[in-house]
Amino acid sequence: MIKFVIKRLLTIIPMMLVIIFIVFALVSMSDVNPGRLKLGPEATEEQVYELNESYGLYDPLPVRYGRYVWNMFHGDFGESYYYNEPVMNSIAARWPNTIRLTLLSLGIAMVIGISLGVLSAVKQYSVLDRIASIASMLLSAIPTFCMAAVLVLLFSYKLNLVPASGITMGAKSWILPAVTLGISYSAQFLRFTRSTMLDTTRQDYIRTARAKGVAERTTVWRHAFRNALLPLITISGTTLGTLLGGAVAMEKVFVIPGLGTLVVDALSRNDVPLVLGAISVMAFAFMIIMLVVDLLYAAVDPRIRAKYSSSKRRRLPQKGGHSE
Amino acid sequence: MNNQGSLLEIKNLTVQYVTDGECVHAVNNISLTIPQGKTLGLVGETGAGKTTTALSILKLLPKFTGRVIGGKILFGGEDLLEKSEEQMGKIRGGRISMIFQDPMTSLNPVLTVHNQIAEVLKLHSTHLKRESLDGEIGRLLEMVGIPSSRMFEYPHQFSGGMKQRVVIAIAIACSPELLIADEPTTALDVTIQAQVLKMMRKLRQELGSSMLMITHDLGVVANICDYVAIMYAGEIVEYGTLEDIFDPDCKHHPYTVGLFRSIPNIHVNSRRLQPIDGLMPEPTALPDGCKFHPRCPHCTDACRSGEIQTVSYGTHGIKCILYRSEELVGNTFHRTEDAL
Amino acid sequence: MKGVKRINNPYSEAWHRLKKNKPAMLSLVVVILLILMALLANVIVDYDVAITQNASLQLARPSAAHWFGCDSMGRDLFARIVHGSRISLLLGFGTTLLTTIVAVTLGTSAAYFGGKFDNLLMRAFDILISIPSVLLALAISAGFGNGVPQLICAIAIGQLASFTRVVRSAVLNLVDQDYIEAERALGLGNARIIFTHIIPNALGTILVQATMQVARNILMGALLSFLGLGAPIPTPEWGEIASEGINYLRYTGHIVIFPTIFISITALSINLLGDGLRDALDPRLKGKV
Repeated sequence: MIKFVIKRLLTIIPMMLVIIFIVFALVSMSDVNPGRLKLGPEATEEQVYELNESYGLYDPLPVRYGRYVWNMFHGDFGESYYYNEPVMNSIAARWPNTIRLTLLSLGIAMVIGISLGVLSAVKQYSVLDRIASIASMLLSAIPTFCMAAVLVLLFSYKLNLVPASGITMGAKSWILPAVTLGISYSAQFLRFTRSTMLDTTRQDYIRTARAKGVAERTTVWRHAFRNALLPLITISGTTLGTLLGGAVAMEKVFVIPGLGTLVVDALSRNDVPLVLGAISVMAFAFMIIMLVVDLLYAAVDPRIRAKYSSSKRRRLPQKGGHSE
Repeated sequence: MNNQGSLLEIKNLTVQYVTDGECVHAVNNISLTIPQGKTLGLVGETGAGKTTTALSILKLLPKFTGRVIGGKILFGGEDLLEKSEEQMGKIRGGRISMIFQDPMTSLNPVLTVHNQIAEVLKLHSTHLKRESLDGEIGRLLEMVGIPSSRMFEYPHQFSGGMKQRVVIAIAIACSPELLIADEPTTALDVTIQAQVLKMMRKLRQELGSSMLMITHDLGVVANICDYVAIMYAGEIVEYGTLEDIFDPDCKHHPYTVGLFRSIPNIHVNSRRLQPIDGLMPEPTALPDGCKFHPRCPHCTDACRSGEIQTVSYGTHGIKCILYRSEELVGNTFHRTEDAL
Repeated sequence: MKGVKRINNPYSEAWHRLKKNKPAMLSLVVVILLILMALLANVIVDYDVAITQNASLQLARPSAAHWFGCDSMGRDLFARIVHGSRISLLLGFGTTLLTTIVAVTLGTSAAYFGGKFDNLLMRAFDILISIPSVLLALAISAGFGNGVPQLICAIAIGQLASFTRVVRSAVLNLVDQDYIEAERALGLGNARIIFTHIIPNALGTILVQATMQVARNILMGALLSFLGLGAPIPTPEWGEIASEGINYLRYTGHIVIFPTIFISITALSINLLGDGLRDALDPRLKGKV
């Protein structure tokens, strides 16, 4: 198992390199002039040129890329073109907020979506099922930022229950952003859980469980849900990716200083180092999450656990129906 | 059929599946009896209604589509169809248990074998103490021919034949009074089939359970059954003891004759097999009168409509107008052990 | 003849099933109306009305003169929404068209020819998928500047990987079938097999997926223009209208509510239509994702 983790971590490195290269190449195509930005409009062309050269701006792309990666491995993400501080500082200041928002929302989305999804599948065609289906259709169609705006209108301005923006009021200020994002994405979990549970409950081993006299509730959770978890875990990973996009919107609406707003602002100003740093960090975090998802997979499914373990120790898998 | 000392009695059972306007007549007014401690073989092709009958006994028909239209299923004198879901829960796995056809998919892939056997023990053998659970599971596994050291392994680590043994171990764990086996060996290789059947015979002897053996294989029937019922298009067209059915000198339903003719006989030098002409009718559009009449070489006008009566004599019954009851007496038939 | 089921070709059968599906048919009507609104925007209301500012009408509430009220710069909101539909729908349909063409080409080739090309492609997509699409779109916009064509490319690339995967697995299922082997044995060329058999059979899956994609792209387009990418000011776009309206929620909600309604109804109708199409083309998939 450890071998598997290490192998995966090693494959992340080349993937990160490729991603950084893609983003690097893209961002480098913009015609930003950091020398001019730093020195101001009064400086001469020569001074600007000199400064830019010291940044290595006129070197060919592969050289710049290589230098960037080299520095990155030493923890140096460069300095922002606008804020006179290392990129790492800006990122470090902001990422706890993004993580808090993302995890809270994911939690809410999963709890609501999965439990309603299971109930809808178990009580197929019931009133609950129909209402849940309609609700999830509606939620999928309303953009998250729109929903946020409507909820802010209602709960902040009309009812005055929670702050409309900012994170200065402690836990209260996280309620609206996390709940909005959570409810918006719960629809995805609901639809998927329902679909997977419907498939799982049609499997033969569920019939076996019932034939053993197992109570319906136990059959649903211990037998069906445990097996439905597998595709669910995969979908959690990919939903997290889209949730991140929604989180960026939430950060903008609620004025939360997070990585999302950092990237958007930096992009509008062509602040190359900041953009690169933030996107690299987010991509890396995403890949670690994918690794965790795979590990969760192994934790839940013994067949996958067997695949990941050392091939020498494992018993040879038996093919069905033939010689024993 | 003999009604004394019978463990299970099905009377006039009719079951349908209803979907989107279409109605599948799966089981049409059948009656059967399984005496205490005996094995009844339910024989028929795919689609004859055998599995539906079995599922009806345990009330495991699909929720939205399966409907029991009429009849009674008496188990130890009580009508199972009248029982609540909770009461059935106590019976399933405990007093009546079932072995399904496909061992590859019948076990939960994420739970250990130990777990799955323990589940049924905990539900029905409540007298068992925690500590003795492992011992009991080990004993059951050894009974079906699996080393007890393997009890903490997962289903995917077993071959098909061994998986089926695990399924059987689960089914017999609580010493059921009635064991329903739905084509338990069909998905297995022939050599494994023989082993599993041998094991089932031994178990039946040790436990004294009655068994409902559903199969399309007459060889399996000869091997393990005491009584036989032949099913076609949702009806029992012939029933009797093993001797009654396998006796070549006795009269039989034309379908039964067709079934026996379709098996290659190693002792006879024949050129061609004689399959039965035609196909089983669509269960959504069954023919009037005798359901077999479109394929029957002896079909007459009287066969095409009306209710066909079952003619019986002693233990043997045939649902056909061809014969009078006196003709059903057969000659003595000696069954040689392990003939097949 | 009464009572006899007429079996026509699978497409007209599907159309019949679709016709019976009331929500889907209603959605179809709504989608057609929206497309008409976009195409006939200039006929419905002049573009000038959408961009003319009027200080005295700032944040005006809906009234008889201005059906949807006015935005923060006094521009008529109704006109902005009508004209905004052009960009929004363009983003939705345009990107989907682009993605579909590329995805079908790549997916079919990968599944049909297999081998190294397939492996390489899937590896490349593995990498692409690990970048969340919003970030990718932002990065592409950063490199190529702000504008509608760039946005279309950005969104299209973001969705490419998953769409190609779907096409690829649908084609893989078909390639497995024996009749393809039979045709090869008969000497039929690859191109012919692909165009006359594989694509028509996969068409159903492709169509459903593309429809769902349109809704997703419209929402993505709204999100990205909300974040500041996309059409330059003063061109109206639904997401951008909402973005601006959020700043004035303290005073009034109408600037946010109207684009929300339009975006939601568009996405909802297209999704319902997609569901209806899927159920009509393969009733066995009913209720599944």
